[in-house]
Amino acid sequence: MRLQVGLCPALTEDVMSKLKTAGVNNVISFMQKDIETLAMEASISYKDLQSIRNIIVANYAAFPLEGDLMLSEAVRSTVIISTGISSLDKLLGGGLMAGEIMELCGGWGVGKTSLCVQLALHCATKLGHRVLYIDPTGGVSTNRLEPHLDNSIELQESALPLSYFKVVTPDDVWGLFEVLNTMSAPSIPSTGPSSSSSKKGDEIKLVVVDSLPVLLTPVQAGSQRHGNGIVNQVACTLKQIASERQVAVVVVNNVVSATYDSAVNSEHHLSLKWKAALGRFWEHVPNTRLFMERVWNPDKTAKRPLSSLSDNTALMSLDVNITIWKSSRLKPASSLVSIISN
Amino acid sequence: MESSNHQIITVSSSNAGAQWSAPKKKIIESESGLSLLARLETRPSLLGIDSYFLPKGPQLGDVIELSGKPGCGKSAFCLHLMASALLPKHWKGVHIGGCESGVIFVDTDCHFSILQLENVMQKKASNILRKSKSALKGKCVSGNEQELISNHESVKSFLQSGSQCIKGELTKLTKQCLKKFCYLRCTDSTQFAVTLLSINELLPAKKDVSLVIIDSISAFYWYDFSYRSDSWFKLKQYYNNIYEVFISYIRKYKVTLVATRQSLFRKKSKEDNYNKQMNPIEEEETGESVNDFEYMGKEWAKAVTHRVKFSFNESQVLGIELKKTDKPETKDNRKSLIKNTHSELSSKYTLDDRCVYCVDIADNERRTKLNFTIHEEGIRWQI
Repeated sequence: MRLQVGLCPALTEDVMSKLKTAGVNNVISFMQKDIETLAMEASISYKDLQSIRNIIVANYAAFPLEGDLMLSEAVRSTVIISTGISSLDKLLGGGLMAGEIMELCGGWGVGKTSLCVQLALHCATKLGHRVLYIDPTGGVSTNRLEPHLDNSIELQESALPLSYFKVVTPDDVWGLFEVLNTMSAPSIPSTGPSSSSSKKGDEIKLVVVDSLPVLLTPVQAGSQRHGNGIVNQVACTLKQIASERQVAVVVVNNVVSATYDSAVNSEHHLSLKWKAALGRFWEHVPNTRLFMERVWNPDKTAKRPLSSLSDNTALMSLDVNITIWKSSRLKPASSLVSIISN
Repeated sequence: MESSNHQIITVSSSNAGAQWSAPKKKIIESESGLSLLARLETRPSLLGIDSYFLPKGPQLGDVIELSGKPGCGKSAFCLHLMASALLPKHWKGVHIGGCESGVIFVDTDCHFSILQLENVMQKKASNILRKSKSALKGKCVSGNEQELISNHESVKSFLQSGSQCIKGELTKLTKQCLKKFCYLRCTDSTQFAVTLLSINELLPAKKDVSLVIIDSISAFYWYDFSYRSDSWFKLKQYYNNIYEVFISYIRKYKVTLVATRQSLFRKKSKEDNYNKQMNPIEEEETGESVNDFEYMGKEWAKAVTHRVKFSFNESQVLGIELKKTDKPETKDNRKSLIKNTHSELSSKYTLDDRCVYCVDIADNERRTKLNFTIHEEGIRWQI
């Protein structure tokens, strides 16, 4: 962040040029200097420097929050979003926690997108929260949505809650930033007449990114440094949205083979074969990482028609085993989950 | 007891002062008598924050670095330290064993939840209450009843006041303790740097803070690398400049710093890979820094007094699993375990066989290895 004339009354052109000759040209290098030393070196008045420093701290430093106020705020506003699948809710200690980033990873075709669509629709239609579904692959189609809707509610009834389910398809990672930045801006461009009044339900409560590697692998293919820089920036943006706006974020990731990686052996004692994609930095980012794998049961066929819906042959339930690989609040466990797929 | 404690603190703080070397070309700082007094006023001691982890207690001015792979207990450990630091020494006549200190928490990973911290504190306190209850009834096996209970009368009357009342008092206690907790969330790199560099304005204002925790210092590493510098050298210089100033504040105000550092690199030696696959446990013991190196620059590396490495203790977890399934330990069996049906998978975790985590603590004098498990009331050492 550059120091600019007008940041504070004491920071005049004259002071700026004096600071520049003393080797200070941005906020961080200013903060590194001891004011007293700087006052003597650059012959600027101590008082001016002190007031510049105060302004910088007020503008850029994190605002200190007191623990007991945070607690009462958290008790008041913490939302746990049910996933609509009881076994998954149990595994997650109630559901998706607002303010957290949860990663779903697994191989191809294990039902990551199906699960995401299912929980996003549950959140929008049953719980009435706004959902932003970021879908760079274009994986969400009417085919995908239909079974869930038929299953849950009548069409007329679902018309309104479905407007809570918003799908955007960014082309690349810059598109993702644009989507996330408009979301994190204080005023969201109103999408309909109802959203002008700020009701409780107008806040987006769930953001699904399906899938992140599609956006990030192209930039990672270039220089390692820049690729990781962008991954870091995506991580920061997602964390900021999650924590500042109390949004639950679900991110879909792939897995890569871990056999050649020496570090991974002791890491995931349950699944030695796989690790999450997107590199080592990303591995630290999510609050919770869930690993999905298909269950091939010899006595049951993996795909079986849902008994409750006799007429609809397209509806299948898919059994997956979900394991917690990493979490800041849950202990490692696994559970069997059936998801609806077509 | 109290006076001997005090003795240790004064000795330790003078030690810490001796280790600190003043920055090179610095004009001698003038300080008013008032601010000198404010600075030297003793902050609460962190001695006994965790007697297994650091038997001699972190001394004020120490820098403890927690490093490790994702999901191996770093953040949970931070929660445990925070809860112990915030809780009081004595409460209702029971020895809780906290430090009665304030805590500044700089959160860059956003893995923190205040509700979780509250929960850990309440569980810690209620666990000790339960212990003292059984001690009063004479069920206590070890002879530490004297240590646990300082005032028999008040404990008895408190325990008889009913569970509802005890619950209410616990909530009041945590709320009181959390008043001394100061939370700073940084969501971008500039904010983080300015926050660190302005900690000298926060520390004198909060006189009861003796613990600063950062989770984690490497959260913006790649961002800084690609946006702030064009080479490794410049990046290290950038970090050196920041940490030189920041560490001098930590030393000046005599607080303990605990920071987590993610392990972002691995050694690219093929031989290591081979060894590791053959015998992962042995590798753990021989490898000083197999998976990691100091990438935060020399100022940070120099400042660290205690290096704590976190890892999974895989041998123990597998040992428990294998006991249940009665299968010898081979790779194929492990794989077949994964493919086992749901019932078996879930049964593995239903009992108290939690993941065992391993820490490797290295300071100037010694090197220790400890195992712990994560519970609701924080962490429990395996002795």
